[in-house]
Amino acid sequence: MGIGRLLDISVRSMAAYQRAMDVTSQNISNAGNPEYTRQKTIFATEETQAGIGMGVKIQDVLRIKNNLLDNQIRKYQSSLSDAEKRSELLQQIESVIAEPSDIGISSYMNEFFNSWSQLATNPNSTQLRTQVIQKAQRLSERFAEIFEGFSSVQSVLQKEAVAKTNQLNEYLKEISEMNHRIYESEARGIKASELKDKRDSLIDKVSELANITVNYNEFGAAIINVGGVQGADQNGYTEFEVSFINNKMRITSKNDKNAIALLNSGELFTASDLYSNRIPEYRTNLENLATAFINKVNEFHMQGFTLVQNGSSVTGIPFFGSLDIKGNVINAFVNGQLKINENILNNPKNIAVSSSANNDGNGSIANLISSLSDLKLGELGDQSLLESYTGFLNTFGVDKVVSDNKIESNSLVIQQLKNQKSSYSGVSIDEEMTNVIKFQRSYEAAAKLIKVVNDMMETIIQLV
Amino acid sequence: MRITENLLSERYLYNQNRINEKKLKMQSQITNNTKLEKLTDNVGDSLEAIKLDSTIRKIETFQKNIIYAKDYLSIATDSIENIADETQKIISQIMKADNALNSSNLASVTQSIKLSLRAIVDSLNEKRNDMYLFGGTDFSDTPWSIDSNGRAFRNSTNVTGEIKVQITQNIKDTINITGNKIEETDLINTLNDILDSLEANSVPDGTLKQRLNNAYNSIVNLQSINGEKLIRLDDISALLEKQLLNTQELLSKKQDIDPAKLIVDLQYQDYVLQLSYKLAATILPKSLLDYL
Repeated sequence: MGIGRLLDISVRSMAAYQRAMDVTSQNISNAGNPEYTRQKTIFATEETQAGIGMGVKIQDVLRIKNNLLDNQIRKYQSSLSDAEKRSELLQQIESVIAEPSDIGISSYMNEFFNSWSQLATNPNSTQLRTQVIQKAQRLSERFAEIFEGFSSVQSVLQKEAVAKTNQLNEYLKEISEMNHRIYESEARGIKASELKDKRDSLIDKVSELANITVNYNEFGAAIINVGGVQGADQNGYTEFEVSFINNKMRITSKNDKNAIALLNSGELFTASDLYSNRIPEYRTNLENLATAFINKVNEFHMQGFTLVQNGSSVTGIPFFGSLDIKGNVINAFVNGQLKINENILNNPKNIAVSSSANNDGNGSIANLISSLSDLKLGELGDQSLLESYTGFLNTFGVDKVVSDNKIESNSLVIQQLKNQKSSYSGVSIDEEMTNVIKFQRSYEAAAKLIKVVNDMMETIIQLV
Repeated sequence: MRITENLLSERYLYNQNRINEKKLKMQSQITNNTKLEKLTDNVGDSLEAIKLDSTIRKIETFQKNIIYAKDYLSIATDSIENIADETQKIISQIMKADNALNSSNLASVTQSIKLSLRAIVDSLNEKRNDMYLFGGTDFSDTPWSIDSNGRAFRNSTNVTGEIKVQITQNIKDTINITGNKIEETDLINTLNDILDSLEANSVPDGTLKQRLNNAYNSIVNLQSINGEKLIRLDDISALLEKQLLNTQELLSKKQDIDPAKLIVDLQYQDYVLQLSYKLAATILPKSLLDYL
């Protein structure tokens, strides 16, 4: 064995540890980068063909990644994003509903019915009649504000869905481009760890928008599936857009309208579900309530007689809306507004509270209308108006609470999963600094070996 | 488990955020003095609070109705009292006419009774809030009038209408004495007949006097019925007050905060927060790097 081989071994060692130091320094410098996946130097013994040790070599630089963990995080992240967005938007509706408070529908509805009870005590009082009109106006305004709140949130959702779909397209485009570069690098045997980190970070962002599945091919390219529709691979990507099919908001492929993403989580799911299902359901519930309220008040009011004017009282006047030529009530509920009869607005004497003609002191109808607050109505499923309204509040409240609870539970799970990921793929400064010492010492030892070999060579030279 | 710097800082921030969220919630509850700032603070309690609030508003309306009813009944009682007083005066006048010494003064007795009848009719036509106290619910005409002969007669065609007021969830009470109740006392007809008798220079006979006494008793009876109604309204009002207090207490339990408990909790959270700051300041930056 020649002394020169010792030099070869030392030089190889120094090169290996220098490369290892490169990897370590890359890890240390990215310790604060949450997207970074730590790399690990795998050393191996260099051998001759005969199996004789020739020092150390770097066999591989591994990217310490756990795909199962990533998939889990994305799944929960998608669900968390849905819950967060849902909670945020439902909170907007909740603040418009303003319950429990003095400015909620329940409060105004109570005031409305109580004003009729008071009117029954003094049916010919202009002041009490005006009070009934004012309470009805307030209630009408509250209904209108809530319906307007629904429309405003739906409008926000529509804009957000378009913006988020554009964002999704951008992400998928970038992922596809990166996939292509990763594919080319890895196919040529070049590690593309940093590119993979960037691409994985984009995949994480896509998972916030929609439910996705991710598969990797043998050259590390990610094949993304968005709600069952191919999203991106190394060859290209699908451009999505917002479509309206049967009044339902859908995310479809731009090139193939039949390719509908079946969403069940993520912000785009929130937008389409709230826009297409939840808000229309809330709206229908409140519309049914308002319609039953209007119809019942009108039914009683039309039986009543107004105050005596020009020698007689009048009957058959609806409190909400007006009568068409056939005698049907029209325009009582327009664009979420309860329209008080113009004749009543202009003249409170037209409020009809007497059960018989020319009886200004009779308040029987006022008492009847007042008792409506407790009356079980068939059209509301044998519930009173307040019960029906609290039923709506309960449905809405449970939706919001479920979202809030989901945020809590998913955040906790994600926190745990991220801890696991950080523990597995994150950089530990202690560990890296230990490696620095280890590699530095190994490098010094290899250098020292060269010095020893040099001394040996010198000894041999002096022998000559 | 490998503990990385990112793991430490993320865990720290997550916990910090949770403490701050709790603090924010408590601060807001203390400021607004309610546990139910919005529906989803507690859906069940919020819905219960809405129902309780509805009950409170109804009770308050019933109380207002009772105040109105009592006021109406009191005024009506005063009027009935006036009618009874005038009737009593008429009885005295007739006793005077009975006296042989006054037989020549029947004209002055007649005049005095006419004045009393006018006062009675005025009382019967009295109004409260533009509503005739004894005119039923048809206000198109003044209920009673005096004709040119000084006789009283019913002007209004219908004086039977009852004014009903909701005073509890299930009770609607009539607050007015209808005109027909007055007519049932036979006071007006009796007084008209007495005047006829006097103007015919004849002192009212025993039958007329008996009718007058009966009418007087019936009027006093109406007065006492009104008095009983007032007492009943007082009793119901006291009952409603009790119901109101109970319901308010239930509502308070649902929505009001316990300031002492909340402030102690807030201080505790603040203490935990400060502790975590100190711990973070001590632990977070430390690594092997600090010792090399």
